[in-house]
Amino acid sequence: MSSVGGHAYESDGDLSAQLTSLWKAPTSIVSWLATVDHKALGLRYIYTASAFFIAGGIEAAIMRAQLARPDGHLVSPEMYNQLFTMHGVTMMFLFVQPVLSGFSFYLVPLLIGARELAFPRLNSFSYYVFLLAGVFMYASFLNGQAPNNGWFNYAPLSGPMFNAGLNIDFYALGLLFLGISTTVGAANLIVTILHMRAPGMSIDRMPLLLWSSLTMSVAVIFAIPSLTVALGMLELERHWRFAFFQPALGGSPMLWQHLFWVFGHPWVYIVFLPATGMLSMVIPTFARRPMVGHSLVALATVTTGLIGFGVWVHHMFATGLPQLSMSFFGAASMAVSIPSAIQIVAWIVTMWFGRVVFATPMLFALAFIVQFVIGGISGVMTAAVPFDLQATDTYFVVGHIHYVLAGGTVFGVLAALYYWYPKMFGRMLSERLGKLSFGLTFIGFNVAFFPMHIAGLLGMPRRIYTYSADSGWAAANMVATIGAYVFAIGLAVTLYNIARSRFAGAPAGANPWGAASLEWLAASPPERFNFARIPIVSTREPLWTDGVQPGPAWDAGRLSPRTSVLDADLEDVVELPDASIWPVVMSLFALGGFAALLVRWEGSAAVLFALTLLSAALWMWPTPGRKSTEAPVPGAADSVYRKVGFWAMVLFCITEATIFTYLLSSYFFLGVSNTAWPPPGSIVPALPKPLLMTAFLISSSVVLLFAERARVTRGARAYRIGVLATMALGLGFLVLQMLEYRDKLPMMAPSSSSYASTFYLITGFHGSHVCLGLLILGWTLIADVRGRLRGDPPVAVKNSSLYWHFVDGVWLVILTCLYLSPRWY
Amino acid sequence: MAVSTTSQNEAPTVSLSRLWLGLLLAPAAWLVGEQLGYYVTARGCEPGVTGVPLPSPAHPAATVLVIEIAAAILAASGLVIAVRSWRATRGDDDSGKPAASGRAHFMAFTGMVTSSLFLVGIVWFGFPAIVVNACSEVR
Repeated sequence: MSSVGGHAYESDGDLSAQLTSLWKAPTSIVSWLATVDHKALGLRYIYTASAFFIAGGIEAAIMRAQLARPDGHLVSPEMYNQLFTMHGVTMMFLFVQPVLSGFSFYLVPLLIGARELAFPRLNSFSYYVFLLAGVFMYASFLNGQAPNNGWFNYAPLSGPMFNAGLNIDFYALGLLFLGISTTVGAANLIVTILHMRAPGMSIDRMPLLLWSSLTMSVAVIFAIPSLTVALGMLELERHWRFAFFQPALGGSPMLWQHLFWVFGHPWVYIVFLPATGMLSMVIPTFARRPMVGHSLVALATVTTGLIGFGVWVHHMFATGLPQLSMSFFGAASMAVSIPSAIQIVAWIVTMWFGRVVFATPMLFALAFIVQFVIGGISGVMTAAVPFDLQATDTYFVVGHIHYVLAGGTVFGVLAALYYWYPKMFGRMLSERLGKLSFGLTFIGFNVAFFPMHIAGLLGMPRRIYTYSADSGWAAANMVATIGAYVFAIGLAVTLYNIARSRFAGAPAGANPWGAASLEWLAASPPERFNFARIPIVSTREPLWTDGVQPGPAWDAGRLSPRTSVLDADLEDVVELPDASIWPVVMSLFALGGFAALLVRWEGSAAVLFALTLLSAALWMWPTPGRKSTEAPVPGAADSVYRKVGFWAMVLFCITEATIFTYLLSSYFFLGVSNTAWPPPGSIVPALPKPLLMTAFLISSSVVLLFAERARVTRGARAYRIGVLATMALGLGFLVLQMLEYRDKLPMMAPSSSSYASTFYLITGFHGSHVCLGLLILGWTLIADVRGRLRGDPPVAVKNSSLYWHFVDGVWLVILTCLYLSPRWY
Repeated sequence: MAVSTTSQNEAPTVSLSRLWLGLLLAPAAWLVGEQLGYYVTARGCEPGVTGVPLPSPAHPAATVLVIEIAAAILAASGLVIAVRSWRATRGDDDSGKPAASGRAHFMAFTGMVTSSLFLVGIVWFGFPAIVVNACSEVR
């Protein structure tokens, strides 16, 4: 019997032993690599991101040494370009978001009373892709061609004419690869948070960290596609001479800026919102009272994520826009401070009415608030157009972004580390060392980054390699450098604390801070299955209000509950897959594919990507499942994974639809940027073949619909015949598309104009989706014939059909935009 | 198990569709208003010959004003719906009520605050259409 927060939560030795045998720990190197344990993978995320943080920190240290004094020559200008680019890329893409995701992957199942994430193998894949993408980008240093054009990589400087080495290819292919990890990780968190919460944890009872993780994940689904499109265009331009950003061929450098910042500004919120969620967990615990304005803070979190999508143009004020246009984005940029202010006021009022304990996590949380407010105020300053025009591309902006992302997010991560370390390792971190680290990092950070505002106001441009002695910037730079090194020493103290406490820290116990949320119900560190009995929740602070009761054990397999989205009513029990090596293999093949593209071995890349898909097919090959006989769910579905798998496909389709939206928006953006569209010399697409292709796809959808119905009314054989007919029609579509290209290519090469480039990109990208749809249908058919599909209807049948109908629907939009609309003007 | 794992729900007094409307109408109006406003100024202020002849409003500021007024009306409707939902669920907080009722109250409350915030945001957006010289550029 363990007592937590005054509530008795029974533990059962026999049950624990049985669950331990079901949820096996790794016993070999292969099983260690293949593990799908969300806690192990969450920690690997945190370790790997921290390693990249150290690499990014070393780059910063070299830059600060270079800038400490005027006329510095520690590194060459080219090396300096690579350093500031990789510093930005590392911190934005390889540290901040992954470390926050690592905390989410570790904590979310514990916070919601689940035994795993919704898609454990996807989590493994996501981690390895992140690791390999980071290694891929850092490998660029080995041949002296690291990315060198800033983390936003503006066109046309990134084009083949101005940057002919592999530098930008490492950037573009590395981020494309990494985007896969980020996207599937976000989908995993969304489905987990929406569908795997403990019974009774309705949305109004969700801890605030879940709100921030959910907001971050949804934002990722809509933001990453914009970057994907931009990077894809860039690689096509660099490798195959497509023309998207070159004005001479009808392209526009502004297209890159729009696509990048439509992604880039939401990304800023993506990388600090989870940190605010962490603070909303830390502050109530150390204020010894529930969060004031819990609902308002949840609302503010979601609102910040939404407004984040409406402010991208404020990065482009200096490009020459009508005043009224700028006023919208200036206003939106100011408005985003309102929900942030709600959060800050809620934290302060919670402390005001509480009895604050100034433990190390709380100190870092307080530093977060102070620095985030300073960063927010300088953000509102740059939202004012006249000021922004003065501050653009100066060190003022460097100071601002570091106050938000380093002063905010990094201090949030440190607060989280000191708060949850006892849960992760069962030992306390040293408070003495923690407070020393806090003092050094707080002082060092502010000494490093505040002077940058002053240097910027004195006119110091960002991204300069050195400056002259008479510029007046030397004092600010020397102070900043000293501060940066003090900051680094403070972080090193925390590293030492972590290493020392791992073995010498005081034992933590299940709930050392006396916190309120469910993760503190589990042992420290938690068992592989998290909870022997699934908790049933009836209040918002379950451990403070006697709001949790032990529920079913579900010990007949690796089982966890699936609950409804809004009210967390128990709907079904999900059997979770065991460890698999295929996600690891798949990520390695994908790495090989991207590496082959880097060195332009297109044939090898095609083979490696085919092997990647084959690995996915083997990974997802259904194995016989079991269900608990204890599941007390009247009318529960026979199919395990029914709805979680379906939601995964829905999210995949949403991501793809978003990509197509950005592609078509680019098509029209370029159309408006040119005086004729298609431009002279290009061909208005003929209609007969596309209309025939449309007929093929529409009829394939109709046939598949009938096949699905026939499966119910006439049996599996009728369904299989229908799927074969659908695939034949899909193949017919592809053959016709090849014929269209054969006719068109001699007269209009992709490199001839931005119109031709976008035409081939959009239609070709859709064609690849048809191929993927055929592969999914083929996989489903084989699994069906082999008797591996369970449920009525099986989730694979529903998913393959959904994807096929989605691909067909997208074609109708493309037909309208690319083939029909040029005839209307 | 002795503990119920299914909802102890009574049906909430407000329909789910009204709760979602109260929550989403104002943010959607804001987002659409902003995107349309950006389009109107971008096209209206540079009305030259373009390959894709998208409509080019002759009076961008007036058009933006109309768009923002329409958005404000939509947001205000969302606010009214949310306030009514909130009144209907008042008292259904977390203390001992069924999960669905507490959740409905939560959605109504957050809808009310969201609608208010975005309504102010829409007015904030519309105001420059009156005071700013729409098409002048700062370079």
